[in-house]
Amino acid sequence: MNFNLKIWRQKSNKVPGSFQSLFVKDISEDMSFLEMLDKINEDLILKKEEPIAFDHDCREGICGTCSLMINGSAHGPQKAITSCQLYMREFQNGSEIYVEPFRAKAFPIIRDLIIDRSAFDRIQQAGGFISVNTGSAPPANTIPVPKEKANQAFSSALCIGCGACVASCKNSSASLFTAARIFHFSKLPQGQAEKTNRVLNMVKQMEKEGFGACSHTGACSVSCPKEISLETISEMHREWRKAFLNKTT
Amino acid sequence: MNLFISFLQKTIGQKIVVGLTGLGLCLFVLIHMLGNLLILSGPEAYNNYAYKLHDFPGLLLLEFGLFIFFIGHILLSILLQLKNKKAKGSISYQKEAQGIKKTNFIHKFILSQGILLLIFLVLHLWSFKFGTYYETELNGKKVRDIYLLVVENFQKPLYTFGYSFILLILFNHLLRGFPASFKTLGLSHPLYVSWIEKLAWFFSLIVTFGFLAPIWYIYIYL
Ligand code: HEM
Ligand code: SF4
Ligand code: FES
Repeated sequence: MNFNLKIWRQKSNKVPGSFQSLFVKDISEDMSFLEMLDKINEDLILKKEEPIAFDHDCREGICGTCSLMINGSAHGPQKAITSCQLYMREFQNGSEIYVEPFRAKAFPIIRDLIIDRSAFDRIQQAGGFISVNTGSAPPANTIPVPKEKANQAFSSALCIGCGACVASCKNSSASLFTAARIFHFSKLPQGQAEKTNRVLNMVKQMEKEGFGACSHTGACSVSCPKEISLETISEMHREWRKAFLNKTT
Repeated sequence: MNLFISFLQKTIGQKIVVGLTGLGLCLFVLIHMLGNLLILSGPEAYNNYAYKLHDFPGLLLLEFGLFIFFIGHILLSILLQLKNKKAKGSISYQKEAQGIKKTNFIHKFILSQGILLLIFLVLHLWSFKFGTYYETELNGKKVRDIYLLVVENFQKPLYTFGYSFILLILFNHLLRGFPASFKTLGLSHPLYVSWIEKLAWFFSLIVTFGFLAPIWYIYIYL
């Protein structure tokens, strides 16, 4: 297969970037999107040109590092997958493909398609944990967790922190990520003690990082590779409202 | 008071105020629409309704409340939109998402639509509330002939077509705003979110057609 790629190149956050046009030939339809980029990079290196910088690690949809805006869609046109799980057979032979980094004020570009998502880490550190003395693992089932609660916590825990929600949101809101990371803990018995502070602190940090407010367009949830539900955000608003009023009155 | 101020400084707090005032305004447009339907029953019914409304002792208080709701809604929603624009940064994507990830049309141009509604609101008050004062007699009393002013205005194509356009925007604003306010207030839930969305369609259609009916009736038949 052949493609006409337009890839965003930018040396650093300090200098402006632009699209580089690359015509690529002999791409197998069984290559993943990242494998295609690997092949292009090999060719670029042979030509003594600068390879394209892009993030990747697990290449199986679980680490959340691969982050590409492909033709205006975060992680490409398909639902519920990450960029590394996208295969070239999904594209029409000879088509033009725009590849851009996830864009948001709070995600500064490091180089080309790599962005700095440490804002997410700081949100996590603001309350996305439970405080326990670590030691050897406690015996299983010492704390009974109802199956329903376990399921709810798990569907939030699926979030891999990729940032597609922020990237696809017209407000660059991190509400979906933050909500998922809150309910990962707040649904479980172990997460109850710190519930109030967790939602207040994580939301506060989210705001501090310069993410926008949620307008409930749903763009995040359809782009989310783990299909975190949009309703999680409504639940976060509910928890925040309760926590704020409890804490301050 | 301190609680309210610190609430207003938080993004979610601001959103909650936009959502609450938005729902309040939804109630207002519903009542306003029902009142307007009286135009269809003729001049007496409508003028009498307007007269009774203005005779109501608590009206000034209600109007003040409505004013506060509008101001709160408009100022905070514009403030939030500016914050959101800033969060987005200066470079936008070259391509727009297509297919399943495409943004629904009703969510685009939220700010421009809001600004149009705001401009409309000023013109609307100017042409009716502060418009020409005709007088008529009703049960031996001199009352404002607001019916005459309404009829006079909506016989002009500019008014009828202009209002219809604005109503289309209001329809869009209600259709997305109504369910959004439930989500903002944390009242939405996976179990009944689809019902809220159905209700939003029902509500927005009722309000829009309820406003359209009298003005087109006047334009075509009077
Ligand atoms: C007249 C000027 C108006 C302006 C400038 C305006 C502006 C806005 C904007 C910009 C938003 C989006 C806020 C956001 O998502 O960040 C919004 C939301 C909303 N508006 Fe308005 N609006 C106006 C009038 C109205 C009226 C007349 C109604 C009701 C009949 C209304 C009901 C709502 C509702 C229910 C929401 C959803 C609130 C939420 O997202 O929680 N608005 N408005
Ligand atoms: S909520 Fe979904 S889109 Fe957002 S960071 Fe988590 S996995 Fe990615
Ligand atoms: S590389 Fe790990 S999710 Fe794509």
